[in-house]
Amino acid sequence: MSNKLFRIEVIQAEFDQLYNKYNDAFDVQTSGKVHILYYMSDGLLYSLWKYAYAQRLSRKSLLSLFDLVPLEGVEMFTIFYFIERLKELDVEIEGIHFSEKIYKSYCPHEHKALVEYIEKKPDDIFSKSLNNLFRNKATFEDINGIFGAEEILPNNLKFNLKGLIEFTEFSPNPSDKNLQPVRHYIENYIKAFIEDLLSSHELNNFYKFDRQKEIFLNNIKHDVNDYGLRFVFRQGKEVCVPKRTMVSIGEDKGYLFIHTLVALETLHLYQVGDIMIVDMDTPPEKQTNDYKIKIYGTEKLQREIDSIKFDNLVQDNKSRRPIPSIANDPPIHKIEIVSGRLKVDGLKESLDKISHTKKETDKPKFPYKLPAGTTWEAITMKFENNENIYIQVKQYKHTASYKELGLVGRGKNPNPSELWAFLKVLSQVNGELTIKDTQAKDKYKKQKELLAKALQSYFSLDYDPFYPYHSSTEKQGNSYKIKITLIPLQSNNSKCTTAAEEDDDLGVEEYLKEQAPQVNEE
Amino acid sequence: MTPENKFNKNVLYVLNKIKERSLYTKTGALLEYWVLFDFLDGSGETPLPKDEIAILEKLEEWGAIKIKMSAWEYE
Repeated sequence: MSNKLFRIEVIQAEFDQLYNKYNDAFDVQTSGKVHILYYMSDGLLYSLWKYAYAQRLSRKSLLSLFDLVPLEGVEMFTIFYFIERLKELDVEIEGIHFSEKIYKSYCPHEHKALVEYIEKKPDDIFSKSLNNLFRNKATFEDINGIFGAEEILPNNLKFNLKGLIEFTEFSPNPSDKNLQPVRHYIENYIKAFIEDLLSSHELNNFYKFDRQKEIFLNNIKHDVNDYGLRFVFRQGKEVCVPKRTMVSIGEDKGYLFIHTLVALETLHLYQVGDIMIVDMDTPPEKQTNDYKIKIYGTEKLQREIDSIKFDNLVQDNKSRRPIPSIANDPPIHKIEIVSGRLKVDGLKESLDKISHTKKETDKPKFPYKLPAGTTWEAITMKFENNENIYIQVKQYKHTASYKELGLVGRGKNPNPSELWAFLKVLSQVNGELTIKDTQAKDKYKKQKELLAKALQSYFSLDYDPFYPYHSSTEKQGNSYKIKITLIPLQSNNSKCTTAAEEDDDLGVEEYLKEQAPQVNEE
Repeated sequence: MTPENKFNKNVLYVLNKIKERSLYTKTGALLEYWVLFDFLDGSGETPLPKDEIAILEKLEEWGAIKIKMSAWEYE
C-alpha cells in the first residue's frame, strides 16, 4: 500500500474566507445531516415560512395549500417544491381535510376531468392518491402522489388543478415533530442569508443582505412615515431598486423580498401579523395581486427608517440630470433705462415661457402623492361609466373623469377623445393589443404614445406605462401591452357586457372593428 | 444526499484537516498533508482518497492553497 504526501502553502486570507463560508453555512444540527445551504426561491421560503408560523401568519382554523402559494410561479410547481422540501426535512403535513362535495360544486369542470382520468388510469399513483383525497382519507404520501405527479399528467390537467390546491386543507397546528425541523431549518437559513453565506446553484446573483435591507426599508419608509409603526404593507411582483447605474423600475431578481421580510423580523425590526395574497374580506373585482402584510414595527424599525436621509431614487434622478455646459447657460440680459422706464431684454420671452410652464404644472394630477417607487403595475383602473374611471393605487382611491385625465376631444363642448376610447379598448382586450395591419399599427403607435404621455403627466410617473412593443419577458409577440390593470365596464358577466354594448356611446366596438379588425378577437 | 451536498461535505472535511494540521505546523513552514490510501474507515463519513486529492486541487484552483510538492510514499 502507499500514501501520498502533499506539502502545502496556505494562502491565509482566501483559506479563512473559504473555511468560514463552508463551516458556517453547514447546518449540522438539523436531522444530523450535513449540507450546505443554497439560496431557495423567494416563493418557496414564503410557503415554508407560512407553514411554520401559520398560527401567527394566517390565523385560519384550517390552512389550504392555496394559502401557501406565493405571488410568483405556477401554483402546481410551487406546491410540488414545498412538498419536496418537507420530505427532505422528514416532515409531513397533518390533519388533511378535503370535501369532494364542496370541491365539485365550485370546480365542476376540474372535478369531471379528474374523475375521467381516474376511470381511464385507475392504477396510477395519481389516481389512487386522488381517490383517497376524494374519500377524505388522504395521507401526506397521497398529497405527494397528487402534486408530485406533474410528469405523468397531460397538460390540460397539469396546470389546471387550482381547485384541488384551494380545497386541500390541513391543520395549521401540526405536532412538534412536523413543525420544529421546519422552524429550525428556516432559522439557520435566514441566519446564513443575513451573514451572506448562502450559495447559488444557478448563475444568479443576489444582493448581499445590507443591500436587500436598504431596498426593503426604502420601500416601506413612506408607510412608516405616514402611518406609524403599525401598518399594512403591499408588495407587488415588481419593485423599484434605487441607487443603480440606471434607475430601473421593474422586476429585479437580485432582490429577495420574502427573504428580507423574514430576516428583518428575525432582527426584531417588527413582527409580521398576517401575510396574504388573496384577502377574503375583499370582493373578487377589488382584489389586488400583491402580498398584503400586517407589520407591527418596533422602535428599532423607527430608528432604521430615521437613519435613511434621502430618497435614493430621487437622488439618483437628480444626479443623472445633465449639468448645463457653459455654452448652454442662459445669456446675460442687459437692463436699460428708457424714457424713465426699466427695459429688460428677454423679459417678455421669459414671461411667456413661465406662463407656458405654469400651464403644464396646472394640468390635473392624481390627487394623492404617490410613494417613490410606485410602479404602473400598482395602478388599477376600472371604467365606471362612459365618462368616469375608478383608480386605485395601493391604498389611494379616486374616481376621475376623462376630462381630469386630459383625454378630451376638440371643440367647444369637448367629448371624450380618441385616447379615452383607446384606453377603453385596451380594458376590453385585457390590456394588450396585437396589431397585424401596418396602417393600423402606425395609428395605434401614435395613440399609444399620446396616451402614455397623458398618463405619465397625470400620475407624475416618468417612465412608459406600456411594455416594449416587441417580445419581452412580460409578454410574447409584438403588441401594445399596458402595465396598468384595466378593468372594463361591467366586465364580469355577459348580461352586463350586452348592456355595455347597448351603452356604447363611444363606439368602442365600432372602433375595434373599423380600425383594427385583426386586433385580438376577444 | 445530492452530489453537491456530498462534494461540499468533502470540501469541509479537507478544509478542517488542513486547519488542524496548520496548528501543528511551525509558523512559515509548509504544511504536510497526507492522503491515506491504506486506511479506509468504511463509514462513508470521510472522502475517498482520490476525491480528497481532487479537492486539494480544487482548493488550489480557488486560490486558498498552493501545492508546492506531492510525492508517493511506499511501504
